[in-house]
Amino acid sequence: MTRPTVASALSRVRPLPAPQASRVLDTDVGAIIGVLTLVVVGLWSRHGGVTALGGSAAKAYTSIAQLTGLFCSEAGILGLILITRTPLVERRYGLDRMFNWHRLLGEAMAIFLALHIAFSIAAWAIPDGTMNAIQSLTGKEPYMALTTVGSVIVLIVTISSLKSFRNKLSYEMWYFVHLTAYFGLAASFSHQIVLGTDFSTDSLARGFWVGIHLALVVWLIWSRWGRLFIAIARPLRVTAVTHEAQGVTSVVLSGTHLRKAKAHGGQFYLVRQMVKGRWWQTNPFSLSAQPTTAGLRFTVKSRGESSNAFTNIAVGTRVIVEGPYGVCTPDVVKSEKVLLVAGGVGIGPVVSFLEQLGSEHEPIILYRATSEKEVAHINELEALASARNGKVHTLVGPRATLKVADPFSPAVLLKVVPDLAKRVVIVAGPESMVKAVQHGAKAAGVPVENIHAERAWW
Amino acid sequence: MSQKPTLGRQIFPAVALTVVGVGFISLLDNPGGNGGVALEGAFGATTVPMNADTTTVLPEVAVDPSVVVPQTTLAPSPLVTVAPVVTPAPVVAPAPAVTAAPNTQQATGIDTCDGVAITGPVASFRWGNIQLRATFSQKNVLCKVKVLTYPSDHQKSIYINQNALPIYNQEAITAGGAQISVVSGATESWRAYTADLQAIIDSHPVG
Repeated sequence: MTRPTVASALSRVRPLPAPQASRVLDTDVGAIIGVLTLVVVGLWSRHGGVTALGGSAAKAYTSIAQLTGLFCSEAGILGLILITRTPLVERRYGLDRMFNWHRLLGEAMAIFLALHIAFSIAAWAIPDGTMNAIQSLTGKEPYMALTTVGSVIVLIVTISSLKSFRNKLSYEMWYFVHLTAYFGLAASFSHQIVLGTDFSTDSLARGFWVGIHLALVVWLIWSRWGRLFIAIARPLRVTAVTHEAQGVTSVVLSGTHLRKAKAHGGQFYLVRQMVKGRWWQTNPFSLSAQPTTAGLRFTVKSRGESSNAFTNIAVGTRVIVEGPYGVCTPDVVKSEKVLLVAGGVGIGPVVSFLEQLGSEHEPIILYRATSEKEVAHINELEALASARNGKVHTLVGPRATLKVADPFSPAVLLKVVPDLAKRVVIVAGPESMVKAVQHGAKAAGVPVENIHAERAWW
Repeated sequence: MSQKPTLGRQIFPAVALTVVGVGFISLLDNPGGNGGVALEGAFGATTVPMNADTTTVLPEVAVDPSVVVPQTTLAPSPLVTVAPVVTPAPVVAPAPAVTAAPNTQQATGIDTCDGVAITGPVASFRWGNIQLRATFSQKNVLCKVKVLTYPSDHQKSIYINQNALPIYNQEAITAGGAQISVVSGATESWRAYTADLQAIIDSHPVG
């Protein structure tokens, strides 16, 4: 095969190849978590943790404090692995699920941290009295002042990420508070090595613990900064901005670097607009057309400051993209027929998904929008569907004006799609609609493993 | 569109990782268990000959009832008790294998740390117990101190003693006796330590 010249490569538009599937299995992930837990509990029990439980109150409290402290660290380690966004895990589970697990691990970590603090104080209070114990543990003992600051930071970060607080904070506020978690974790590390019985006396355990943390730091720096630098070295530029519907704009990004890129319909990128005041921030935007060497198209609804800025972006602006991410791609469909459900601007990933399906899938598309003015890409959708032996049904209007109370109840779904149970269901849209479709499809007899939802990224 | 992975592929990582994990755990030290404290000090960088360690399994019947067990008194603390019932120490044990050795070694001027090893009484104080085992060289110089027991009820005690006891061991060897300076924050451990070491030295038949 001869290597195409630059000119011919530029002139010949071809779809991007799909990214490689991850070779990681569920059992691998389970094994890693299981063995890490085994080692942590093993450390604790080898160093007398189990026997201490049956000892004096002080011994038992100390032992519990150690175990909860170790679990707190383990949750932290796993949570940090998730935000490395390692493709090994991402290509299998998707970034949205990784972020969700990261959040759950953060919450677990805060609970273990609270227990660790409570039992440490209780253990030290037995010889010293509570006030002395608190004094010792917040400053008198080596590295404990630093650790106290670190723990407070970790707790603040966790609380600020709880859904009820998160919604009240601006993204910037939340983001910068969240960034301090790195400092909080680092500040708490020294006390584990100096004061923690498991590590201060056992050089092998200490070596393991320091090693695992160093490896994590290197991994984080590489995967967060290394990948970012690669992305910065391969910037794209805005080549087209099209008004699609009320508040909905499609933006095409192009660049020569796309010739080497891999991406699939249904995936999303973290998009960084290189304009004043926005460069530090990324937004997840879904592909709204099959990605090709000619460009990546994103369809974005102006919902917040940042997406609003993107819909008004000037042609020629430099944009840095990291990705692609997401596992709701045509790979999830084998030979089955397909039902695609789009809600609002969730039409983007549905179009890019549909474009890569063949006519054997006979795709049916349900397109739900709250107003006629918000319907985007409808002509494109109908052309793609009819070329693939498929059909498009639209359901437009505010919920109150609909004839049925729940447009995604099993009865309604089955009436529109009689062979629903044999189809693979792909749904993209607002969370409430995704849930309604998942629920309705399940009730209509679609196996859970055949329902694929992508959180709405736009 | 991936094929179903084989059973072996699914199980192999779990088994391999578990073996590594269990192997790692079994290699760990066990300072939490009593008696396994790895706190010792020995003079020089010379390795201690094996016959010095064999004395650790001396039978308790070797105790001569006529040997006066010195009371370990820790003056300022009212809680101090000695527990001679638990440990009928000091156990004096000349190393049998080296009975002929001293002359030749003294002749050449080389002193080795393989003489008499004595286990001290259990010194109880406010935070727990300290028990030492001291080894004397062929020339009857204190050359090695091993901590058999130290307070471990509180994390704080563990931390303090793990810092201070190796220093005391080193100081004791340098001083050749119990006249050692206190490490700040570990005064009570120092009292118990010096009392225990003095008891050993007092019971040492020659020194």
